Amino acid sequence: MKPLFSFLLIGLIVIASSCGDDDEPTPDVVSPFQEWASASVDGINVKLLGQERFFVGYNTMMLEVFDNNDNPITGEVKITPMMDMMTMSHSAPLEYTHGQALNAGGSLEFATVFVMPSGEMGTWTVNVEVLDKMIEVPVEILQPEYSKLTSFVDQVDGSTKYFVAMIGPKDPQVGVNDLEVAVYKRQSMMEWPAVTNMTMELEPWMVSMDHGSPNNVAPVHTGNGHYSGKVNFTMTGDWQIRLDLLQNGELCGEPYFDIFFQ
Amino acid sequence: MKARLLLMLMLGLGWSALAQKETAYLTWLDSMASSSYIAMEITLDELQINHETDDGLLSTDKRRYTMRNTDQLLHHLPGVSMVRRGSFANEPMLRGLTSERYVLSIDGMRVFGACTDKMDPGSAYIEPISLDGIDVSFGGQGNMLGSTTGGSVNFNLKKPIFNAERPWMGQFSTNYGSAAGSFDQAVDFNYSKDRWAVRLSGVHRKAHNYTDGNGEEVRYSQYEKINYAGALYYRLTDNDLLTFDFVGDDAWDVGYPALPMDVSSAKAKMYSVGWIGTNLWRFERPEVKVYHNSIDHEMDDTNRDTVAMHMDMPGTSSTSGGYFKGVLTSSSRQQLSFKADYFTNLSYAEMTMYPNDPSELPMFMLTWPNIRRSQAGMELDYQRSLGELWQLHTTARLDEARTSIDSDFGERQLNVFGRSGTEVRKEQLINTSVNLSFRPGKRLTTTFKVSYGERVPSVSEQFGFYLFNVHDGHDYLGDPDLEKERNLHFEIVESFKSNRLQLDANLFMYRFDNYIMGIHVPEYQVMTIGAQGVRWYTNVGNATMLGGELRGAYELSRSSRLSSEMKYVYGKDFEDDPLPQMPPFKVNTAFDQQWLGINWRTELEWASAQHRVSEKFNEPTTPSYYLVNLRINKSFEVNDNSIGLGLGVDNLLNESYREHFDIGRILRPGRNFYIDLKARF
Ligand SMILES: [Cu+2]
Ligand SMILES: [Cu+2]
Repeated sequence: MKPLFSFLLIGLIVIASSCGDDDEPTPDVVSPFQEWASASVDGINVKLLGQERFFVGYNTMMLEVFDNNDNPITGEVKITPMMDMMTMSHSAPLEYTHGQALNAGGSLEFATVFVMPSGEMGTWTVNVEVLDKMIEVPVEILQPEYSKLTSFVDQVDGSTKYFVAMIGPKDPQVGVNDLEVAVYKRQSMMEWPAVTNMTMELEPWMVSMDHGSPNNVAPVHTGNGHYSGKVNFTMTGDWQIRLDLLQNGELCGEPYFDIFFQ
Repeated sequence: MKARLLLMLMLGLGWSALAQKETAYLTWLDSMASSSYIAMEITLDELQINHETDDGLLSTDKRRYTMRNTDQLLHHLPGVSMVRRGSFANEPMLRGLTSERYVLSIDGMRVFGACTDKMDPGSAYIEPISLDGIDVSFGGQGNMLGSTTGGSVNFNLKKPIFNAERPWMGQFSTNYGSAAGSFDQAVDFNYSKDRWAVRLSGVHRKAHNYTDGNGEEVRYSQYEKINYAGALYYRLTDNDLLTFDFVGDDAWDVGYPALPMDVSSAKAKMYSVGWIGTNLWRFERPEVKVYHNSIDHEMDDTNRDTVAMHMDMPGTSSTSGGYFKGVLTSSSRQQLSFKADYFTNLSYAEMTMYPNDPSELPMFMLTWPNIRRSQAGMELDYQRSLGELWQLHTTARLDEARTSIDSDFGERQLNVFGRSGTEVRKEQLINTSVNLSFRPGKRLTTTFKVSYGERVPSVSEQFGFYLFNVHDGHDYLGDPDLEKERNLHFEIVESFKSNRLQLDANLFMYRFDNYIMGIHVPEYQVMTIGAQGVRWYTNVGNATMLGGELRGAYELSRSSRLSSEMKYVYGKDFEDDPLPQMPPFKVNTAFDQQWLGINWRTELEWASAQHRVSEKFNEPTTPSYYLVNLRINKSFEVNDNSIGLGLGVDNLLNESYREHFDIGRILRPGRNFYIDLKARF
């Protein structure tokens, strides 16, 4: 019976070790939208939804507009994120991913790249213009533990400020991950256009062991300032996604993102 | 008695009908011709269990050296060298080929170590006191045990004795060695009654750091272990047996001075149940066995002063399998035997790295991602006499191997390299050999051997993930898409035997195709801190090995005997560069004499320098060395018991030396005085 027993034992070891695998993040699943902010003006009720609490970085958001009877309001909207910093105020990159019209359900999906957290420095609102009314929805923007937004000043002209948001991987794991970043520049306090002509080089780096990973695919532009590539991780732990951004063959900046997973 | 010893030496290559398989006996260099220290014979009345090797002779001599460990026994076998990483669990190497290339089995059970760094070859789990013998074969000749390109090593477990003179028998031995302050004990019992026979043995070994030939203490060379083994045999009829065997081995606090890590625990358990009969359907002497073994291996670096990063690296390997064999037709002129075997192995190893900065988080990877390999094979073995002068022995074997990994995590790791392992890979393997012996007279035999062997990659070669190899300082990656390696092997053996002299000489050539070797990939970065590069296991094309062995024994008088062995291997890879870890020219000579009722033995060992090294593998050259070992041994009979006392010194001249293929340029032990005591009751 001993062999049988050790058969079982081995079975248990195998099960135990495969249970360990359960702790790994499961691949990206689109999480449902949840309401995080709302405001009402003259019988127009505006809700802002997000897949997680709004953070510094690229937020996929949903706008819902209803009247007092909970009937959806449709039509064109204009959305403007604004940060009030006492002495000045500024906007942030905004992307109409699904056009500018509220659908029959009164909702519209869009994306905003908040560039600073809320706090002593200032407060954020998302301003919604609909039916000739302006509704200012106060939102709270958190700074994530591992930054998903980084900025740099163009090394060529020494003045243009670029913002790079990491959209994915949302749940990084060992293996091949889809890497998506979006690049914007601050043209003025109110103008934050997408940058579409960057070329990129990519190097993931494990700082504590001083090594990278092979066979990565540098992100290339896919539209609206979004760049897609592949980033490979050979083990769990602390990684840096290091990017070189070039314009016309000249290095503009070397932004990086710290990520960590187990 | 001496005649029998000589006969034994001849058996490996001689004419003796069923012993054509090249079987190397423990006794080769250790054979001190003392008839007073005969250990237990393995005879089951008329039934000869060990048909394959055809010997009741096997057991007669080796037990005198029970306290020498298995590594030392292997070291003395022709064509075998031992790769050292420390004092413990050296890796057997057959004519310069390491464990990927040969089949290792224990009583026909396949055993695969659980260490990604080769700290635990299967031989580490076997003690001489539970051995009847060791069979070694080379090239494709080893295919009775499995498909192979480099040969095979099989450890025959000791069988319990039926109908012994006394129901209880046993032996006890102990020894002390000065170089490592080592102290070992072993005990063995046999009990038989009616239809039952039982044996049980236990071994304990403990060694501290040894001192090398420069008088320096070699840190992290200590070890401690226990081993327990037993067998329970039941006789159904006079010649039919039911068998149960087990082996357990438990080692802890094992240092590996050549490696960056030690072992905190290495545990093995092996079980088998079998039946040996006289007839079954058309088969004579049928034998069936099913088995299971499991190995748990824990590496440890917490005792090291300087580690770049603390790591945990546990590994497990478990193997289950079985075989059937029997003789289909047998006459005085010919014999056809059949064997079918199957095993399935699961290998798993992981690595967790802890950064020195506690604010950084641990890192994890799978170094063996739950690799499942199953292999089934069938073999025919045919021997016949062709007239008076010629004898033919041929084998043919067909296997199918299936390999896959069962781990999402491991699969994603592989994806990084554009590889996948979850789909089962099937590989058919053909192994065949033809040996033709010619014996024109009574004294001279010439044997021509041709064999063709194929093997699947080892689990490390196929699925290893950043395995650090200290020998060349590189991280190694497996490649799931590797193809099978092939070897064509030619050998000529010339044997001469007269009353007083026997000589065996052979010349061999191996021609590998699809040879598997790590190739540096410059664009890949190392994972291990301090490593110099990454190598990917690749089918590189050809590799060639040439070599020869010469063995001789001469009986100077009734009480003195001179024996000697020489060996050399030359190897080159696909780029005509030297293959790494090739043994240089080496000579072992022993002189045995009985004088004043005492056995005296003098051994000389000389190895030439090795300057033919592989620069690709950063291989260092190795200087020549010269060793002198002395030993005296005396046995006393007290009533019906016997006591044997041995005194000796290894490396008398305190030479500071290492063998060429040793890992990490660690010197072997310096002068070692030892004393051993054995009692048989
Ligand atoms: Cu790392
Ligand atoms: Cu190990």
